[in-house]
Amino acid sequence: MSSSSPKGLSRIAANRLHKELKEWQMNPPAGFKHKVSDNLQRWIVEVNGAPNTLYENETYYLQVDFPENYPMEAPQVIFTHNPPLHPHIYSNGHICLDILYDSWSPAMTVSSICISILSMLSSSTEKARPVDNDRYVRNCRNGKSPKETRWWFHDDKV
Amino acid sequence: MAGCLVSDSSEDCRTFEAQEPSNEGTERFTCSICLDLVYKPIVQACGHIFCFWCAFKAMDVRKESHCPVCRRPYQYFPRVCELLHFVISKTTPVEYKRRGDEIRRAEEESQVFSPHFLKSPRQTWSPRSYDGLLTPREAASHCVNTSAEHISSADTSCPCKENDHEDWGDSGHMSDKPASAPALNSQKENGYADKRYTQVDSSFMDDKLTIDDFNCPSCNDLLYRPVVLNCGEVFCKSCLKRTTKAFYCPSCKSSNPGSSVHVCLELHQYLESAFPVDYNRRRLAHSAIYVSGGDDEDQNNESAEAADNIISRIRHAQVGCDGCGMFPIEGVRYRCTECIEKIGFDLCGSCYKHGGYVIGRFNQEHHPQHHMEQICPQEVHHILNLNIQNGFIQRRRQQQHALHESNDHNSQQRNLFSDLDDYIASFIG
Ligand SMILES: [Zn+2]
Ligand SMILES: [Zn+2]
Ligand SMILES: [Zn+2]
Ligand SMILES: [Zn+2]
Ligand SMILES: [Zn+2]
Ligand SMILES: [Zn+2]
Repeated sequence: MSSSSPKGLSRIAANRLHKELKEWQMNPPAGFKHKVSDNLQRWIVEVNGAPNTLYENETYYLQVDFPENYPMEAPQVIFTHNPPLHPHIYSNGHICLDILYDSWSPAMTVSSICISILSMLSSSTEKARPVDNDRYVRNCRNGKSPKETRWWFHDDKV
Repeated sequence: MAGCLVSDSSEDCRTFEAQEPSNEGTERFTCSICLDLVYKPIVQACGHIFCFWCAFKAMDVRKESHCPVCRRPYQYFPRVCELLHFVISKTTPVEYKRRGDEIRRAEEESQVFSPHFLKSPRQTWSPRSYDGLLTPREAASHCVNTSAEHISSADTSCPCKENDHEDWGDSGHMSDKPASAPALNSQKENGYADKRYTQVDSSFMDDKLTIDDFNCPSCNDLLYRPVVLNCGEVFCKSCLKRTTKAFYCPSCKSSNPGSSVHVCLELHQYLESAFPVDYNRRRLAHSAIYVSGGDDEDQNNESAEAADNIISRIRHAQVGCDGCGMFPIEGVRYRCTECIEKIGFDLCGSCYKHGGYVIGRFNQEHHPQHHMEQICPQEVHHILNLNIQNGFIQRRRQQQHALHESNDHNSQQRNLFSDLDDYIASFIG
């Protein structure tokens, strides 16, 4: 466990992240690896595409940034490097998934987010970018966070 | 009470290392927000349990909130459930003490305090006993008044009552106040008072919970399928009269918002495992009476409330009612001008009208004789501006404009202004 103080996290947030990390180490969600670092406030999580899905044998990275008042506020979750081709994942790594924004609840955890993301990947039937990808990514050029986006969530079948 | 006042400052990791869990099992009564042992439990109408602070911070300061676990909507901040507070402090005393210390440090930093002594003149048990970790049974032995008598006769000389008041007024630094404790429990009081914030007196840990601690005030038998009301009191689900609208707590008579109440499963499971024989007896008796088994279906038409009235929809962002717990307050709001606590003391229109002795949901020292002022929500001005942009206000401007040209219209002017004032008054009640 890191001894450097996570500046910017509230005591509640830091306490809870320590608990989540501990739980993760004992019981990691299948298909995910937490890359050990000193930074409690930013987790890099390796995602392995589930067998028998379009993303089998592919590896992606999620960057999870926690706000000061986590878990009252959702973490910011984006794919880094080469985001998977998926109708709900933009080429800049932003993810259109309701629980990351409007439907966030403080009872959710990184682990439950990961499971949702994996199930979103697993249920995909085509490898494609969202139809509005170019427009959206252009709008985000100045480093806009996905949390500043007003999302509307089409369907949860994909 | 007002929200958003509390910000926890960051803290270095020494605290975390000092918090190595003891070997007490804490699988039970875990708060799904902080993932730690629940401290000062709040049970929502849906039956889910959270820490006082977790529940408060998870509420939406601007609109209706949703349970973090089941997403059921709600708009009231419940009072701490003393029975559960007591159960947890007995079943996992070391962990509970650790949690208490942790929370207290945070409260001292923010200078906003959760109710330190969960007491009110209407309670059956001397709430002081909770911090002294007496059982309700022990406390009841020095306070023979039933809850009903407590309500109707707030002035009767129950030894615990006076004491309650005194401590209730203390904002969190009670450790040096044991002297006035009634003789009957002074031994424990003193013993605990001294060590209150330092270490748990091991003698309290030896106290066993007994079945008498879990009597339903309504049927006077072991609680079965327990429901925790907004006031924090616990009843069998079947002992509560089902109505279509809000109903009143059989014991303290405070109104319980919303028609649906749900069993607190954590407490249900606890009772089931702690008193298996009796709980099963209750189950059997229960199924004999309620053959239909329709005990748990909740057809709540809460959403069908047709409250189209603009005033009733005006919300005082970040401010909650200390009476009923509505958060944020909708409609008229009253603020105490004399309470000095940072969290403030506020009432909604109906709690203000109802009057009487209201105890804050934090540690306010509010007194019924305090002066309360009516607050016009910011939104009122906003809505006024929006709604009547082309109406009164604009006409008023025109009139003002006209005024410069001629002074002949003074009387007309005044009429118009009083119209406007009436209109505004109608918004703020
Ligand atoms: Zn909690
Ligand atoms: Zn719930
Ligand atoms: Zn009962
Ligand atoms: Zn009550
Ligand atoms: Zn109220
Ligand atoms: Zn006051």
